[in-house]
Amino acid sequence: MKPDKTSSRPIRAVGLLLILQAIGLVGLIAYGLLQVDWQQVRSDSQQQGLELEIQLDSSQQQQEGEEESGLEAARAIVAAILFLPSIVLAILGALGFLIFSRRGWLLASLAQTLSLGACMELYYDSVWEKPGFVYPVMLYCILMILYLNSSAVRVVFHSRHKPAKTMGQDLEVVRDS
Amino acid sequence: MTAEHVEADAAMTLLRRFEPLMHFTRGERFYPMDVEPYVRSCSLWVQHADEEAVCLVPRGELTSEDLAQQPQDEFGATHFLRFTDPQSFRELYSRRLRRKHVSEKRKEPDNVFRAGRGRLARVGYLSRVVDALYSLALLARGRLPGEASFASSIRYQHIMSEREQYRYHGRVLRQGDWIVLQYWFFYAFNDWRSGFYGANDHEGDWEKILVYLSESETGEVRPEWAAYAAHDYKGDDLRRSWDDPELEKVGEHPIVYVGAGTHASYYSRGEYLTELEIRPPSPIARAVDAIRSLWRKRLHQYSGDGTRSAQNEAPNLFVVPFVDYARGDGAAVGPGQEKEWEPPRLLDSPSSAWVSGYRGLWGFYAQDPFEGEDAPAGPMYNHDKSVRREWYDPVGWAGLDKVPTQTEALRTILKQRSDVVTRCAMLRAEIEQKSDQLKRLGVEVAAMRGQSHLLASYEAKKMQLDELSREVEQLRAQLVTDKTVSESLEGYAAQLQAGEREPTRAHISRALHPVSDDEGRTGRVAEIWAAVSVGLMLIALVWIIMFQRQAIYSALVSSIALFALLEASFRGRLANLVSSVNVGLGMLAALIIAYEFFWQIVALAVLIVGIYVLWDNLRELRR
Repeated sequence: MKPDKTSSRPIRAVGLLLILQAIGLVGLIAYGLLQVDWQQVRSDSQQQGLELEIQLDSSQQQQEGEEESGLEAARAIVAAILFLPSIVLAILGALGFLIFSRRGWLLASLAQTLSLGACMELYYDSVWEKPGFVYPVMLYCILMILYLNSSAVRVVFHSRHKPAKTMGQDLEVVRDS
Repeated sequence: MTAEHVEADAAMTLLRRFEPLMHFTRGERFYPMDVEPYVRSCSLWVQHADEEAVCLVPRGELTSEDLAQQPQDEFGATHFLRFTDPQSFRELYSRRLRRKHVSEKRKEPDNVFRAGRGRLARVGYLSRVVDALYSLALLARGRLPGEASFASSIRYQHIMSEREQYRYHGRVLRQGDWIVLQYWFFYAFNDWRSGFYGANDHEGDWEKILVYLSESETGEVRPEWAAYAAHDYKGDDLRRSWDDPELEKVGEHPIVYVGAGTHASYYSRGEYLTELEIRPPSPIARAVDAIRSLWRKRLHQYSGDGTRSAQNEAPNLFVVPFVDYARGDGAAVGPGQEKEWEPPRLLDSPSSAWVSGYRGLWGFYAQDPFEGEDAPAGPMYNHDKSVRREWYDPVGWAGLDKVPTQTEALRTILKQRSDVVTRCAMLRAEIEQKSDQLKRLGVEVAAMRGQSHLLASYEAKKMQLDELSREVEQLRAQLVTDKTVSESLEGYAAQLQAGEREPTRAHISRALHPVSDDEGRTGRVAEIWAAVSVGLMLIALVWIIMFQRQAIYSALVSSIALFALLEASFRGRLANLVSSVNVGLGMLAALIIAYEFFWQIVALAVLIVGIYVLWDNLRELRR
């Protein structure tokens, strides 16, 4: 059974939005990592053995600068680790949506859960300042949750009919009557 | 429509002709019995507010005549019977008697109850938590002692050993065109909780089924409907047409599948999931309903599988699950069975003065605020001493007051059609008269238009004209509707004349169904999980509080997530869990954004309104 074009439109839209989300998150991670002065961080870590001496000799301003670059690096790495699973799930979910697999919805929803969870962790963690990029990510996730949970999308994925088993028609699209 | 009694002989004949055949579940210990031996085994007590209960008539001296007198009645008094004596519980519950009871049970393995799939595996986690709280609350609430069921069973066996008898109590009355047969069954004890993992136990139990007959012009009676009472259901959903395949019969005897312990009556054999609903306070319930409506209707969010029940019935999280087992695999009582009915006791006979005279309870008064553990009142009264609807209005009780008998149906339809046709003729005449009036008023108004000296009259007449015009329009609409109704009635009458009947189940909106085999099938692991999950959760909670204080929040979140994940996986509801978590996180994120960017959001909203107003006004200019 070929999917109905009208009812498959929101599914393809969600697929594209998920790809957009994955690209955006990769971009944010890349931007965060590129912002870090890695040479400074490396030299700091090399001089860790002489930490005590440095602390005694260097000025207060120098110390603060080094701490800041270290924190920035740590935050960028933590953000990358936190968002990486949701990027993977968003890509898998997008593929699932584009090929109409029943698991697509679950993967896409889990991607939102993990993204929002990561945002909450970064927002509430008191070690560093609240990163500004969490707000647009949160907003995007809220809109995605509303869209994923809308009747137009969920009826397609959670109909009582079992999906067709033939290749490329993994899911039977049932119009809401 | 008032109820009239039927003569005793005729009543007895009708009752015996349509008396039911009752199938019980294995493990049932109490069967329908005559009230006389029960009353003789009871003592009569009265409970006044804030006082100790007083024994009015001791065991062995009580008769049904004493009951009818209801001595020492006053405001706030509650009379009740005691079938078992708490002082003798210990003696009755002695090791020797228990051993004897167990060995007797072993001798009759055909009458041993096995629960099968646990009720807890059929419902959600929160329901199980509420169930645990409900069980704990039993300790604080008034309840029947655990030994009462065993003691009652022994006393009942004693009565049966003196004279084994199975009897129902009958009542026959005419209400409108209907002849109503009421079959009342009295059981010595309801052991749903202690015997079948149910919600409550109580002494004394009154249950009923009703059969509705119509009478032809030749005086021949025909059964048309039956209504089985189960767990306080009422109205249309209670009754089944005599032709409905769900209503099983042997000859003219309807078959009743009796709930184990509850003695509720069912049309089909099976296991019924009944839910004891604990509604939150009304302001909270209203707020939840408003949010749900916004979520579904305004935001077009998914709300189940689109069925009416999923859309309309608000899921209540505070539900305690219980299973009512009406398997019909135990003993059978009724015509042609090993256990036959004795001639019924008529409730309207002069010897049954206790029916109207005794407003008290038919067993121990546990003073349970939910009334589940209190014995019920008699067939005529509710727990609060008001008269039961099924007693004074048995036709309305089953929603039959709007349904004519088959004999009367055609006559009623034709009479109604004739009324509608007459109404149409009257409407037509009225429309004609008012249309003429309208035309005359119209020319009068047209003639006055533009005449400055007639302004006041013109305005008054114009108003009158508008009003009359509206009235004529309404009359015409009414006429069209009436014409359509008349045609429908004509079609309906033709259908009946051609022998067509209404669909037998068209009146049912919420039928009770036993749990299907698919629903009942589950893995052993899931069942074990359902049984241990609440306890494990509490143990985990204590462990976290005692040993994980440093990382208490993350430990709590992780353990809740783990339990939720396991639960959702076992119940195949992972999608629902993810969806719920997402909604929760989304709401939190929305609050954070609103908190962080409050003024920016306000400014943006004003900006959007400004742009919209600008665009709207400019668009008007371009036209």
